[in-house]
Amino acid sequence: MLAYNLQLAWLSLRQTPGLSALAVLAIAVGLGILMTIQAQSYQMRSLPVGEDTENIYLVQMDNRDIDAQNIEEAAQLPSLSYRDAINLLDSDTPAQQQTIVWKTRGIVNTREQDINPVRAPAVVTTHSFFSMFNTPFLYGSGWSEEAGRRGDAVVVITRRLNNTLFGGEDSVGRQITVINAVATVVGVLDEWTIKSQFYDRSFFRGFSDDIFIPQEFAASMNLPRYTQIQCAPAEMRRMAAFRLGDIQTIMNSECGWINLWAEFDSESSVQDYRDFMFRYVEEQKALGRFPREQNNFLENIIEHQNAALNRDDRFKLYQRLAWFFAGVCLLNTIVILLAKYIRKTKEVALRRALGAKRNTLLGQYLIELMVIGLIGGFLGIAVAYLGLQGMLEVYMYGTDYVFPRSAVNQLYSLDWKLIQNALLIGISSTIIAGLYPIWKVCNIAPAPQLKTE
Amino acid sequence: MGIRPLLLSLKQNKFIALMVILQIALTLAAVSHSAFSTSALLKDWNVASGLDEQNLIVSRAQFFVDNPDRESAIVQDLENLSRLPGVEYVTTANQIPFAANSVSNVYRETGDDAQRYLASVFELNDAALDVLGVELVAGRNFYPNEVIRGELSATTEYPSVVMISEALSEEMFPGENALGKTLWPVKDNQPAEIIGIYTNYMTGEILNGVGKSYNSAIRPMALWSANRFDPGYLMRVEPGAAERLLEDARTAIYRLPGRYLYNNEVLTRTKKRIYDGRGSQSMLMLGISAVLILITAFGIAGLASFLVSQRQKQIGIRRALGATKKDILRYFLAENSLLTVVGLLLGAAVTIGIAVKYPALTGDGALRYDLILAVGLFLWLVNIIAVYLPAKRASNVEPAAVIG
Repeated sequence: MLAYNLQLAWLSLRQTPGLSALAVLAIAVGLGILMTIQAQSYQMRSLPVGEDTENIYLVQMDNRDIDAQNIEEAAQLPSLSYRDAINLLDSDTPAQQQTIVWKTRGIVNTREQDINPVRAPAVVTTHSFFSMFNTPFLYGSGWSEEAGRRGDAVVVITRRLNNTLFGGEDSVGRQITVINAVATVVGVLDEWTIKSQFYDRSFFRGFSDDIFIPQEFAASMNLPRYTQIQCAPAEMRRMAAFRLGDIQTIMNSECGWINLWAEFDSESSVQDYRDFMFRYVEEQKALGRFPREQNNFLENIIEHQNAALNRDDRFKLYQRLAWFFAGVCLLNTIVILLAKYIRKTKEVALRRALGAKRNTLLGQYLIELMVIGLIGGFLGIAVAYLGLQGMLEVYMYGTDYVFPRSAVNQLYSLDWKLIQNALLIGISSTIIAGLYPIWKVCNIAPAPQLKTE
Repeated sequence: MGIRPLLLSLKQNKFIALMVILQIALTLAAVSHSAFSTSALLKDWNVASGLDEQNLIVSRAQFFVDNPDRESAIVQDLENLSRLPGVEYVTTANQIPFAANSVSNVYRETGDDAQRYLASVFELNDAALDVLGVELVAGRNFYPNEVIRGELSATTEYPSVVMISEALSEEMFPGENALGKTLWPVKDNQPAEIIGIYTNYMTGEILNGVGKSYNSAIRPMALWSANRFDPGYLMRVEPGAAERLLEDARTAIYRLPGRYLYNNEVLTRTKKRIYDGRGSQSMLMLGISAVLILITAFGIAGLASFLVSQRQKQIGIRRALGATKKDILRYFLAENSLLTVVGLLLGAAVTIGIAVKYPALTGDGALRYDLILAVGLFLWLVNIIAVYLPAKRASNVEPAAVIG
């Protein structure tokens, strides 16, 4: 029966090839444009780093002055002061593991200085960074907790930097210079696919960081703080000292600049951590810090990412335009399908007169619509693929090819879930568009139509 | 021909008429919004640079070792670079054309209510005009002994002379001769005498974005500050030698150890960067808009051809009753135009409504009535073309064929 209906649908499509093709084209283009934008939105809104990182939260506590502006969104609140970050990091907390992150830049070379120095964006962090974010290692591993604590001169570098410095050889145990200090490579990261640089809250997409430095070692080298620093207005004039002067200056300040990430194994431990933060702030209040009412945030990595995306006005514009365009295409489809089915008036009248039930005809036309929707859906996926490739090219060109393609191309890719959605949207929107036309043609009284023949 | 028969006929096809109107309205709204955004993006896009950027090279390096002797490094770099075969002139530079993102206010007078003039202040040496290749319109060039070099915090004496671009001169001293006038490069700080006016050149993206691309001033100085910044070098090279000289410049800079070369390129590349982002965004918008208009046109054409085939009989009767081919053609075009006009009016209302209600959503652009009008007229034209073929077919219906 299904085969018979499909055959009928095919015959009916062939009867009005021009209009059927137009309907398919309208669906394909509308869906293609919509999917091009939705795919990016979907990719940007998924976890920035592997699926098993969904239990990672950013810790924030409002230690600002009493007269600072109220902040109700986590995304607006500065990161932690050094003192609080280290206090929490060193406490026995309900979190499974914690790590801190801030950014710097290192001028890097081999110990032998046999190439020109390379400027490498760098992450200062702790040993747990690698296990928390499941970074893949090509050679070696991260540093141990003890090595971090002792301030050992060790670093982890990326595959890219390893290629530049050592021509891709296993460089574990080799020495490099970072600005004026000498450090030993303990690990080389393999290609680490992340959707954006989430760990410093920048959610930047582009250059990857090339070197990972333990906190104690970075502090002893007095590395500059090329990281987001937020201070009370009165402190702003000391910004140069905070960034480039003695690191103790910023460590002793109340400025927010350290990102503390915590990983949990259960929902209840998240709640326990919130209580823990509350008690911690109460203790600090007793010491005369935290002048404001308690305002702590423990929000998931994905919520921070989405808040960053919501600030992207250009993308919002694209999204709105995409819906507009899909709307136009849908209206187009309705009109084309109406034209297509009204042409069948005589055929329907004849079949009705010969005893065909209205529902049988409706069913047949529904199947035809599904076929149109399915073809339109597949073509729409092709359009979306081209659209995404086009947008990737535009992005690469627009940013002067300074970012490696691998850093951004996953944002411009389709996966099975998106393809499945595209087919569903294609079929369902065709049916919605075709409901009125097929309803109208099936409800025509046969007699007057036949009389005119 | 009156409008009544048109309306009566459309009444027979209310649903189709409504769909066409909605489609045109939505298309207008969508394309107008892309047009707002595009026109804002392309404002002052790729205007004349006033430079031979293909013959200019920038090399910028930064020390990472403690307490280097920057003064002698600059002397040595200038010597090494100008000795490279193919390099014609070299200057130290705090910023470079196309990438001058340090924009400041300059003043004609002191005091709290002194009017501000937005400009990029370039700190170059006495070879500035030769390197840039801009012409002196009036006044004189810097003398070598007017160039001040030093560590930022230790410098108390700033240059007493300054040159400004024609554009800045016209803005600050409209209708006057700026030569010999006084300019305060920093508010209430040491003033400088304007000794030269030179032809305009592109500063950078920030001023370009506010329509003041050419507002610049040149001061004869080279300052540095420990751990913060070192001056870069801007070079004019022989035509065609730029790409080849990049590697030589790199080698020359790296002859002094302890620093890192972070920018070494021909200025064509710098120029590309300030326009490409905006250019490609606009192309994307225009491309999508074109596809949308095409789809709408196909839809309208399909619809018109449907209406024509549905009305074969009426057309035949009208032709038999004496209507000319032209009458039929005109009828279909008029019917379509009526729907288009209603759709465009509705679309304009929607566009304005959205732009007024959600100003943030217009992207980089703002509501512009002239653009709505232009897009509307264009859509109308496209619709007439789309309807023309089916209407032509209608006018060719033989009166006898349908009556028989």
